[in-house]
Amino acid sequence: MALSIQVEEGRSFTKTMRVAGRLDDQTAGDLDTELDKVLGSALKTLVFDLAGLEYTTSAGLRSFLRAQKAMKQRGGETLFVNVQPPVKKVFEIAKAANLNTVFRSVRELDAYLDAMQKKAKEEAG
Amino acid sequence: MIADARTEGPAALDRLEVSCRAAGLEGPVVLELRLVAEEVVTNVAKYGYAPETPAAMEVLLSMGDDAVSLEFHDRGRPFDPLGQPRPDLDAPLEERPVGGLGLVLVRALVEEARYSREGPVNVLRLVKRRTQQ
Repeated sequence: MALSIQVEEGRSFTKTMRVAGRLDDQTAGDLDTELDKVLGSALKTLVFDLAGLEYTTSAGLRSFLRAQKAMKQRGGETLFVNVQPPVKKVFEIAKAANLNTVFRSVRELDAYLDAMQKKAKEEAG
Repeated sequence: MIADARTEGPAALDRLEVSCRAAGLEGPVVLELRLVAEEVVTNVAKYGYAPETPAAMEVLLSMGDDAVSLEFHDRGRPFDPLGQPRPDLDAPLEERPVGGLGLVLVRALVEEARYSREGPVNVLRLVKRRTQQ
C-alpha cells in the first residue's frame, strides 16, 4: 500500500514530515530513509503531520519511536499533529508518543511553537 | 493458503481486507482486523521459518453474527505469541525497546486470543466483535 512523505521547512530548526497513506512493513523503510535525511540536518523540532495517515502497523510505530529517541538524544523534540482516530488508538495502546507531544490541530501546535520560541528568545536575551 | 508469507503476505492481507469490507464490517473494524492479521503474518514471515524455507501459512476468516474470527496456521517453529513477555511501555524513551509492539497491538485489539500447538502446527485463534463498542 502506498505511502507518501513530504518534508517541509518552516520555522528555524524545525521540519515537518507529512506522512500519508499506510505505514506497514513494506513502507516503514521509506519513512526511515527520509527520517535519516531529515535527522542529518541541524534540527531542534521535528513535527509529524499525520492528517493523511490512515493506518500503521507496529513497523510504523517503531519508526516513530526511533525518531523520538534520535531527537531526544540531540536535545530536541518530536511533535505530532492531526493524528487520525485509527492511528491515535494504536498510538495509545502502544504508548508510542507522550500525550503532551500530540496536538489536535496545526493552530494548537503553532501556539505551542510560538510560546517555545518566545521562551527561547527571553532566555537568550 | 499462503505459499510464502514473505512474498505473498501483503496480497493475502489485501484479500482479507476486501472480504471484511464485502461482509459489511465498518471501516475501523476492518482496519483493526487487517492490522492484527498483518502483525501475525509478518511475524511468521520474519521469524516462523528458517530463511531458506518458504513461510507457508493459512489464514481463515469466519463471520459470526456478533463476532469475526481469524485463525492462523503455520508449520514453523513452535511459537506462542500470547506467551511472550510484554515490553515495558512505560520505560523512559531512552531505554524503551522499539520492537515487540506488534503483539501488544494484537492482544489489545481482539476480545479473545488463544494459541495452541497442534502436532507440527501453530494455531492462533483470534475473535473480534463485529462492531466497536
